[in-house]
Amino acid sequence: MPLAPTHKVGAFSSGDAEIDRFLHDQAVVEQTLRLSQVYVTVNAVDEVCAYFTLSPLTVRVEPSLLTRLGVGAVPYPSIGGFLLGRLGVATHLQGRGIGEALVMRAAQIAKREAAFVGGVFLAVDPKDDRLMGWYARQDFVALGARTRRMVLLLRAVP
Amino acid sequence: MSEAATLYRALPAEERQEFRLPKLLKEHLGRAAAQSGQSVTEYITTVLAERVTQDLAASTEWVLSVDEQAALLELLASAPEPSARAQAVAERAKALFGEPSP
Repeated sequence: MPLAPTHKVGAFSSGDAEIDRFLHDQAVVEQTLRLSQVYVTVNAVDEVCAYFTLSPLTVRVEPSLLTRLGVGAVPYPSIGGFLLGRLGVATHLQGRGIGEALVMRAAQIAKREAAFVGGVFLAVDPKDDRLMGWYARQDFVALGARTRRMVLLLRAVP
Repeated sequence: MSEAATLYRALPAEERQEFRLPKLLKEHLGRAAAQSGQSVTEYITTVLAERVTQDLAASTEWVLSVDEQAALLELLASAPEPSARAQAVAERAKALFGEPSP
């Protein structure tokens, strides 16, 4: 569900200071300003147990690349998608597959939104090789051998 | 005051930022702040909050190298179906969080 003012974020701890600080200090402001949408799962007393953020994005494609692929001239060639910016699970709930399920739910929400605003992929920018391997196990594909940028095609989302 | 300015100004002002500006602009800044009944800090924070929010909201571009763009286009040309693993995870997500909201 989307983060609401009634949700308690203060006690959330994922073991990653940056992920925790975002939820504690920035999430409400960013969501209110519509810079990203924050989705949370909460316990019986409205404490956030896990969260992720989604925001729309576009990739501009070099016209020369399209020409090389035989697509021809497109005035403003770009591809729409969504960015899974942050994802965190409370330490006491880690190791139970909740992160995987959250990624799936993020992808399902992106797919639903794409039906209205367009978009064909969900992107992630994993910060290290361990996370990259984790996203690869969720069917994300790296955009080359020398990059950590990865995407999941929304067509592949149930 | 805009929603962005109100939100940012409600946060603790714990950082300092120094910058140089033309003398005339500084003078006009002081006059504009006074005319709006704000201190210079309040005025700058208000203007900055509105502009920063606008610019961040407008810049949704994910800048990829040409090689990354090519990899994305190649991937888009494929026709992946939801894998058995994805179907199983979707079932788990449904059990944990319920149906995706309409």
